[in-house]
Amino acid sequence: MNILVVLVPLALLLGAFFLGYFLWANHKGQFDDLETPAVKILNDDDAIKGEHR
Amino acid sequence: MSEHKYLLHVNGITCANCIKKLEDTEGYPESVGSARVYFGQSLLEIQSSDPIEQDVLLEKIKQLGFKAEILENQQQGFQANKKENRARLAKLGVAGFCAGNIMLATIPLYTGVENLYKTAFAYMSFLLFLPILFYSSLDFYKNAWNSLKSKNLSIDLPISIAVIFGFLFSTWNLITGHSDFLYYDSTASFLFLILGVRFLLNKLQQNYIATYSETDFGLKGTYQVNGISQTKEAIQIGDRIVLTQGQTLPVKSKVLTDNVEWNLSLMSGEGYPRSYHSEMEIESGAVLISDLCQLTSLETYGDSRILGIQTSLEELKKSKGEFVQFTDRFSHYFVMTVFSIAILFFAYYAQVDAFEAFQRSLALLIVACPCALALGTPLAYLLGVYRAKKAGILIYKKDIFDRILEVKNIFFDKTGTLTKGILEISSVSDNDPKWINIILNLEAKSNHPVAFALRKKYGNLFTPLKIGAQERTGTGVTGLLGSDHFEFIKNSDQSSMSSSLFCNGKEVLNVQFKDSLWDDTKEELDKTLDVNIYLLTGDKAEVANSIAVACGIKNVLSDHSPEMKLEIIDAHQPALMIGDGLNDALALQKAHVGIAVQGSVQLSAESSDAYFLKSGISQLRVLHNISQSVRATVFSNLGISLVYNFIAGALALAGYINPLVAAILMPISSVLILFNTLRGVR
Repeated sequence: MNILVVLVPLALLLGAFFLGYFLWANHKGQFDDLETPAVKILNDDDAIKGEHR
Repeated sequence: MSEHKYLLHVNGITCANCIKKLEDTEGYPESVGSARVYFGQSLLEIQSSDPIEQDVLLEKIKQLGFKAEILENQQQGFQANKKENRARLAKLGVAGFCAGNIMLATIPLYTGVENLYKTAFAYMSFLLFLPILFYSSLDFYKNAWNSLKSKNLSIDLPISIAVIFGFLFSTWNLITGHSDFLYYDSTASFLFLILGVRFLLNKLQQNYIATYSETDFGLKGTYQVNGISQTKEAIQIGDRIVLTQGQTLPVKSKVLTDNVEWNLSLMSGEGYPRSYHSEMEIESGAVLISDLCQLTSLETYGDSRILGIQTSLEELKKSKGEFVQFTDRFSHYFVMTVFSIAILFFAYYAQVDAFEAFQRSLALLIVACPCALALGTPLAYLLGVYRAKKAGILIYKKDIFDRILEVKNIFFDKTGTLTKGILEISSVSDNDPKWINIILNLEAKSNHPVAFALRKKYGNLFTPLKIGAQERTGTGVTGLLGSDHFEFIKNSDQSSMSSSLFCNGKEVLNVQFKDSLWDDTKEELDKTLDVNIYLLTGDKAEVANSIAVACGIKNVLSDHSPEMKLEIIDAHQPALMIGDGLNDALALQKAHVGIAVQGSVQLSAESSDAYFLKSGISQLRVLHNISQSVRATVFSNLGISLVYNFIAGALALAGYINPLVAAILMPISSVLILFNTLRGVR
């Protein structure tokens, strides 16, 4: 049972990390629009454009 | 450095390439820092360090191959929605994390850990509940407080009470060492569910911003006034205005050009073009069909009828009281009942055992959380809105589901709603391709509605001839083919519309035009709804009657101005109005249920409760069906919740509710409600 003293806080920390990450992403507007990025991914010529410059 | 943001509605964003083109900042003025496309809503958001001229921006987007329109009024709402959504999502995320981990901590408590571990897990769930109490539930407190102030107890009040008292009660038990009596887990997971449903409902409704903005009534931009281009506000009485094709007249004016044709449908709903001669007066809101027209203004824009309608529309919007939904009234009584019972019980049982009486009354307040109202109703509306969207109906105000079932009278606008609002050929006296081809050649370069109708029907018969066609504005076209002189001119008849082809002064062919019904109009009206159906139009009696006969409507109200339409609606409440024109906007706003149809002008769409994406009226029935299933679901949810609350309430007062029972009972009722709702609104 003693291992719980390590495991439970660890689990909470891990969870808190992901929660923080989620809140950060939300704050940056990553979830404002879920449709456009799904369509945009079909366009893969960003790399080619980079070479031209 | 100040930021300037522009929100635009762009037509024709269909693929990844469109997005790429529009988001590439090279296409815009230098000051533009970023351009972002919202694909689902066809919106483009542009941020710039310096202000950009609207015309310049629109021109740039036009060069990219898109038609755009700047949404000035929605800009702020859009930003506010974005902010609100982020805040809601953050609260939901925090609640999810905490609720999940509270449950993790609570399971050992239920399964019987002992001593130090028990205390540790109990305090862990206490700590994890704090973010829910002080952050995620803030909106509930705010709404509850507002509802207390307005004396209309909303469902957020019992939710707030469950959260706050659940916390106080559990914490007090925790401190005094009764850590078997903690309600953190059931309260937290319940709250998480409610937040989730509310977030989705909110988001789905916001998605409709600007979907209706594809048409305005052409009053934007500048006008040629006294030889210089000016805005409509700058027009003074007696100014000379030159209008070009497609422009909307902003002020009442005197016509100075002979034989100009106008489309009056915006203000009157009249389907056929009308010719005006010089010296005649014409109302604001008319759209010019002919190439050019000179006018003298008789009023300023501030006094114009078109602005008057907009102003009274604003006033109507403000004066429209909030519709109290059935569920709101129900929750009002529900909250009062639960409170009364809790207080009465406490007063009675306190004589026996004051502490136990307090415990049990609190337990009642906590378990009697109304799942059906807090969870089931928003979810039912959410599914209703979603189902409507899939059927091509955008719901702006979700209480339309309740309102539409109360409607006793239905009013249809004619042009654009029952009919297509464009001319079609109804009959031709002679089908000889030779004559038809001559007409087509005469009309070949014309932008007149008649020409479009002809091209649509006989486009395949067209073979070019050397005909010197000349458009004689307001009457028709003339031309010379060899030595023969042809004329295709309008017959002077107000009730119908027909034109004849003359060859050297002799009539050889007559074409009748009509504004035809949508294919399904008659069919839909035939399936009688249990209400009175009216045709309410600004058009002439003859035209209105023929349409009414064609689709079997018995009550016809023709020749009605926008203001008269408003009065009619007011006298026939609860009424449902379906329309599209500016002339319907007042009526749509006033009606118990106002529905705008595809192609509506923006003001009408903004005044309505729902918007049909498909033309015609077939979706009225669909909407009605959805409303019925939403209501049935809401009612059966209330039934389930009454049974649940009766049982749980009795158990609480009898002292049988402990955290384990609550942890089992509350999710069971939530799941029952969820399941019933999902099954009900499919």
